[in-house]
Amino acid sequence: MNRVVVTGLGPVSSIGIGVSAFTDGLREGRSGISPIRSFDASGFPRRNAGEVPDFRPETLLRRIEPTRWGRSSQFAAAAARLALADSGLDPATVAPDRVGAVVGTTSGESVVVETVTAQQVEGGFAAMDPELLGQMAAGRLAHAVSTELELAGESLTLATACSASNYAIGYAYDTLVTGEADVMFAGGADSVCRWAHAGFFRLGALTADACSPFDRDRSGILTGEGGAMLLLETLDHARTRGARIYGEVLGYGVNCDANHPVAPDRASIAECMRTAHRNAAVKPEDVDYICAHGTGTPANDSVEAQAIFDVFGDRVPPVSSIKSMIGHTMGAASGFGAIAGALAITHGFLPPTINWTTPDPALAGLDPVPNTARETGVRVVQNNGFAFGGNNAIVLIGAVE
Amino acid sequence: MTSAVPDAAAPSPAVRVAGWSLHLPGAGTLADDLADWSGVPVQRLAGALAGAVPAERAHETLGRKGLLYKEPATRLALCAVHRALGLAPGRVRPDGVDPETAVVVAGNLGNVATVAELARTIHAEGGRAVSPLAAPNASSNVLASTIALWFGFGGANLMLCSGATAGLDAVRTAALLLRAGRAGRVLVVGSEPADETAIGLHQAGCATSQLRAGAACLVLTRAAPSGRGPVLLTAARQATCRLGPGGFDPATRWGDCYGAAGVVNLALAAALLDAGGSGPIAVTCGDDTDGEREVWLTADPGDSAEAITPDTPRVVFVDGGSGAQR
Repeated sequence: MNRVVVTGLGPVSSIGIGVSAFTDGLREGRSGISPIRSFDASGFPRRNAGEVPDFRPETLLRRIEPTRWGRSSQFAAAAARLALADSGLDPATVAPDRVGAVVGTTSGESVVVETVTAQQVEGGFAAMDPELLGQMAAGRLAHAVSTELELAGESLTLATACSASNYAIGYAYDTLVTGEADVMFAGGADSVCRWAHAGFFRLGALTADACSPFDRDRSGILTGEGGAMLLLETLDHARTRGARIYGEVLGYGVNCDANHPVAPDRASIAECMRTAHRNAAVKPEDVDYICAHGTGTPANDSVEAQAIFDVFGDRVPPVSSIKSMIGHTMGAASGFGAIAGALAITHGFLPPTINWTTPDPALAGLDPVPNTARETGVRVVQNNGFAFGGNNAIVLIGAVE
Repeated sequence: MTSAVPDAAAPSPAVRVAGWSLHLPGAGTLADDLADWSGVPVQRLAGALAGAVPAERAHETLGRKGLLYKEPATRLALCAVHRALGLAPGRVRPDGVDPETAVVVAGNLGNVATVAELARTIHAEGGRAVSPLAAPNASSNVLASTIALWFGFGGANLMLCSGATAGLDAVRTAALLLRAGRAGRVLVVGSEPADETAIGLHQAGCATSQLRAGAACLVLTRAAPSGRGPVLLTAARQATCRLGPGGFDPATRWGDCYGAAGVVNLALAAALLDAGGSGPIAVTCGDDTDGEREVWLTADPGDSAEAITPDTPRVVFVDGGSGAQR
């Protein structure tokens, strides 16, 4: 049974592109929220999101032609390119069919879908741009990574909504553990778009200006975007090539509430944590930090905290939400959480929950690492990811023993 | 789930198709066609392809309650699961949640009509006109989560939208979940609708076949020596016949279930073996754009010892060329 380690990080986010800028953003508690620019939001009462206006795919991508791929594919491929560069891996030293890509997403190529649909509404099917139709399939997110990096192994996109990156990391982990690959790129990507913004607004889930998870007065999410990819490889492979190791993927757990389409389920989430702990062979007291799903909705944060209390009892580790900084990046969210967790272990700090002002009496005992990053040793991180449909996926990352 | 820590060093269990269903409305002639092609008497095949009601009559299989706001692909998928589990017609009321059963669904077009309608509404009437009730159906994975809710399946839950290979991608994913000890049983479901939006998109991307609404379900388990049902093989061997592109292909003979095709073809192989056809049968899905995937199915228990890995050969075509050829 192979051990699996993280040796490359590729964040393309609203608080920084590349591991150095992203680390600085987490440490500084930077906010990546800004007025929406990618579409005309003037008709909405909510007009802010975590867009990545500085994303210049042509400066990051070397092989794929950005104009032939949708924005989410560009995010995925650029993030994977950054992760490869960060890892120092020479692709020529690995057989192409032993390297794969697994990408999680919520909305796939949502901007392309929206554009093509608008064309259809305006002028019927004949008006749809064939070039854009070719860019529309969500499965292309993984293919973009495979094409950009010339990978011939598994190439799979998982659409498990907002826990999709953790699903992807888990899939890659199993592939490496069982010896079916030597190196895997895993994470997620999504784009800010008008219809997701409209949908979450109509669900009453959007807040106005600042997302404040675990705060008494939290009032919802802000949509976000980006690409978050990690380079995972077997420990043997990493050691043989002398790689710098951020941390070890200790294991993961997945389950489904099978209870309600959108409302999270406390008992099921707690059970997912226990499943992940068993799989990773860690006890609750081993966990130093929980990178929360922490969307900032009243329901999620309450249920997530209660599930944490159920599992951790009176020894609850610090729990913070990086969605306070980058918004809810949907399918990329738990990928950013995994990157933040790996950085927490490597650099010894806890990313903060920014915009936090007022304790929630219902969450007494929960330390949200308010507003300022905290320097401290971190050996084991629990990265939570939950999704519509009751899809729970939790990844455990630890320092390499 | 309560499964143990995976131990990849332990002998890898084979994967058995413990149950299946083909829910292809209007596919009666496909049985005749398959009988002619395979030499298996049509009387033995007809039952497997009979009894599939279309989405608008799903209540005849599922009962009347709970189908409001369920899209055609979701309804067909629920019907396929209901029938694969051998349940009598009528609403299922699960006693609780079964943490050992996972759901992996394959399909690409189940939500496109809703997405198009949402965009159309926003375009015409603005964001306030969007119904919150329609929002869950905009997520492509609503099929997988609805199956979990309906039947009480608490294991891993995911939806693959990976184009023409999605069906056998799902089978591979299910095999990985079983092999890693993350589920004791996996329901693999393929489902596609054939509404105007879906047909338009399918034709725009692949005009050589006609999209057709349908679903299929496979109940996959780790193979026990005493178990019933055919076993998946991954080692290359001489197949007696091929179902899918390059052989008897329902997509060209009846209609293309696109992302569900791999599941349909594998369920058809199970039906063929059950009817007395000889194996191993090679089952394929895919196209020139999305790549191809292949798996083998055999009824012969003696072959199961060679079923050592859930991996199946996959050729990835990206950016106009095969990954393996670059």
